[in-house]
Amino acid sequence: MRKIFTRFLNTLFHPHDYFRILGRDRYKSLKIRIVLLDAMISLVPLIIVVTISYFWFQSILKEDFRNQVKWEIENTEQSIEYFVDEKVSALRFLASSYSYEQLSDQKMLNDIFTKFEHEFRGLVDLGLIDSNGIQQAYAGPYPLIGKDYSNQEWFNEVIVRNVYVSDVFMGYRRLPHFAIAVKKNCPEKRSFCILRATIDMKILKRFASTINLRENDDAFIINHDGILQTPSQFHGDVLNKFKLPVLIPERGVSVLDLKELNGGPAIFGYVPITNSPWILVAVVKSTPYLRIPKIFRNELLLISILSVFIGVTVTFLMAQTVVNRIRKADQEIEDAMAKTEQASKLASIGRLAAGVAHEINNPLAIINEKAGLMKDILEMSGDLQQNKEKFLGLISAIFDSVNRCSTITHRLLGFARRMETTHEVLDLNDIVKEVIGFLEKEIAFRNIRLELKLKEDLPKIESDKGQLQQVFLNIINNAVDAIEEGGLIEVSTRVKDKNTVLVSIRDTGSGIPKNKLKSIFEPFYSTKEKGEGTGLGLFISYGIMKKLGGIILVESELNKGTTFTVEIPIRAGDGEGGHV
Amino acid sequence: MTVTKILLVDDEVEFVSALSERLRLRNYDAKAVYHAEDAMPTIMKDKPDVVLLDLKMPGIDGIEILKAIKKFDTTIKVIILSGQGDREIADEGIKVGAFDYVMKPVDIGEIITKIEQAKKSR
Amino acid sequence: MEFEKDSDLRLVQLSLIAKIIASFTHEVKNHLAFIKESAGLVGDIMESRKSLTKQDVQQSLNVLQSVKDQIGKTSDLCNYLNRFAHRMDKPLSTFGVNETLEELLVLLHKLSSQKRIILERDFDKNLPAIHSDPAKLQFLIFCIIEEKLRRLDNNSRIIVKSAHSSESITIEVIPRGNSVETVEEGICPHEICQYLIKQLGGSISQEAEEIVVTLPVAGSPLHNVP
Repeated sequence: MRKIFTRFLNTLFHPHDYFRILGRDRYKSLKIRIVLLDAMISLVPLIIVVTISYFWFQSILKEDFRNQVKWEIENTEQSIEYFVDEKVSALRFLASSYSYEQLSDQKMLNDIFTKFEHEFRGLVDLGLIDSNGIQQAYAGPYPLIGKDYSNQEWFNEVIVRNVYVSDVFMGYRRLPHFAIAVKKNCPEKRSFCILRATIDMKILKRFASTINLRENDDAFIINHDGILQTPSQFHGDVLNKFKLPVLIPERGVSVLDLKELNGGPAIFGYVPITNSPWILVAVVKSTPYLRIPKIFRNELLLISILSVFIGVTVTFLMAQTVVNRIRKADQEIEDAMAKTEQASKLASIGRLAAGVAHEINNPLAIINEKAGLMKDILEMSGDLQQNKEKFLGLISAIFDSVNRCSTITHRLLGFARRMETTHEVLDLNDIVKEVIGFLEKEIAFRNIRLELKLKEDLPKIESDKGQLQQVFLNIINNAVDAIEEGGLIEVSTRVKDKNTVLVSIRDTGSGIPKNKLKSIFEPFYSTKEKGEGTGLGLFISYGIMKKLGGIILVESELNKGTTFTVEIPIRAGDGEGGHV
Repeated sequence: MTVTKILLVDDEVEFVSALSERLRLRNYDAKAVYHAEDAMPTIMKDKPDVVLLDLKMPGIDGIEILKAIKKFDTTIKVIILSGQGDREIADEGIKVGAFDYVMKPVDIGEIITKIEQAKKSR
Repeated sequence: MEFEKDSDLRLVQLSLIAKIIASFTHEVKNHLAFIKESAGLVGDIMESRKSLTKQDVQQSLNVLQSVKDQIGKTSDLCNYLNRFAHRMDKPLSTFGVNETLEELLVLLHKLSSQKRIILERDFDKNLPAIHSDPAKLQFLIFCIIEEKLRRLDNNSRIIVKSAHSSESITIEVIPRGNSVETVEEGICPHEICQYLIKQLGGSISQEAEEIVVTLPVAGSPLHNVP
């Protein structure tokens, strides 16, 4: 994985390791680099924005949902609160409307109970308890006359508080109830009494259920000790302990996000119900907000894909334009360089011609003097005997000088002929050997070992001798300079395929760093001191090979050495046609 | 009439040996040196009347030799032997004190004339 | 495009110079051969005789004199080559048109004599100097002459005439002889000539087979000076 990532980065920033270094490939790799980088730069923000929007939208929906849950809890709390208040008021009204006599009268109590029950859903029983805690009268299904409640907590509480709403308890017959008790003053008995009504828990349960619940949701009522007052779906039945410890505020809805509850996140909301010992709890595990409308998601996807497509296309077109401009500019530079090269050729041939004209003077002068001397001798003494040897010597000297003149002019002619690209049939090995010949002294002087591995029976090639030699000279010179002292230069020739032969020049010199490899063929690139070398050698050589239908390749490793490979077509290429 | 002493200084052995022989045939006391280093010592020893000097010898600046000769003895006349393309350096030689110059290949008649002129002007 | 033209220009220029050098070399070789033969002849005379007759001596003297003459010719030729080569040193200088024409004609002697075509000069002795590019001028005149050399039959003549007015100098290339059809391609395409004359700030006109090059005199502005 890491390897793939590294390779990707390398391709992005150093594509030349993976593409051929020069020629048209240089521009292709530049294009790819631009497109990749550009696409990354434009796509990454797009992806970020889309992702952020998506999750932001989601979180808004979630928040919305939470608020809805809170609101529902609030509403339900209110309802329960009113219900309790209502029942308490009703009971108080009863207590104040009837006297102790009336209430303690069983028949009357039954009657009151029946009427009360009619209006009061869930009323289970009604009882009157005297100040000693003894139930004096009772209307309801259970035999509770005479029951003693004096030790019960609610009894003591209601004495103090006047009104008491109890927790749910398991009543007679093991059904959950809760009770409301109100204290009544009984002036006749010079004391108080308590009117108590027991209410079926089912009423409470109905309230809890009004919270809009979905499949995995749960709403129930607990008391301050965590005991369930109504049955819950997932957290136990009535009078079981609710497992979650919560911090109960005095009032107000609290909504929490729980990370992990029975295998998943949940919204946990609770509110204490005023004037009651209860807390309304809702545990919402359903996540309707996650069902982001399909349309929205599809729209998003479509827009994203379209954007990506447009982005990449535009980037590609732009890269194409830019790279073409660069290529054109490079071409212009190359042409200017070619022009400079030609101008310098002109200059050099001019200089050579002038030099020849100059050089020839000396041998001409010699011939002149020798002939003149012969004339003098002949004129002054026609005697052959004495001077025969001398004459023959003079004539011989004239011959030598004539030859010298010939050589000089011949050199000039050869150079002039070579100025134009010619196609002649050549033996590559001979050409290489000739070039080596020029540099032999320098190589030996620097203690560099030279190895020639020239393949025998190399097919003859059709090309330009002068220009090829110029290229080889340049490369081998560079090799010599790279080594400085000691080391090896190996020159080999071989056949590459049926159309191409190649010359390899390997040196054990300082090598070229990978990040500079692509620049060595550019004009004015030089590692030499300022003033030494023009930096044009490899550039011109590359241009020559291109014109001849071949190419120059290079491989290098720092401190190990460099290998230049020159590929030459066997049949003369027509300019760039051969090898792009 | 004294014989005119001529010293030829030129690195082209074949040329200068033939020329000096031709001068000798015409009754000049002509001698040749082929190395620039030998010029001054020979001049100092032989004290020639006229020096025929090639300015374009390898390694040595002919002008410097010219100056040295003039410094040694201003009466020595120097005639410059110059190649076809060296008009400029010949002119420079004249400025530094040379008497005249001839172009190679030389015409023997022209050289004789100039030698006589030089001798007369001493 | 300018540089394309320029680069084509230089290629043509190079091949023209190559031609001139070839012609020069050919001529020098001939001179040298003659010298060698002459020397050889004298040597033979010397070797074969025990003593020289008056005739022998005279003959040898003649031969030796012609050797010296040849040397003179060769030397002159080299001189011309030298001057021609140095014309390329500066793109702009003040020079005498007749001299540049003379150089060209001397160096082209061998080339023209291959077809026995004689190059004649008719130079205006009072031609003023001009300030221009001498190499380009020689290039242009060469182009014109080269074309004429190709198109003329053997044993013809080409007259190169120079003249001047107060404002300009004219160089006329006047062929005298029969034209021949030639399939041989010229070195110098027409566009190059047009380009050159434009660079020189002058004009070319043609009347029948005669070509007239007109150049502004020193002091006149030059177009397209680099």
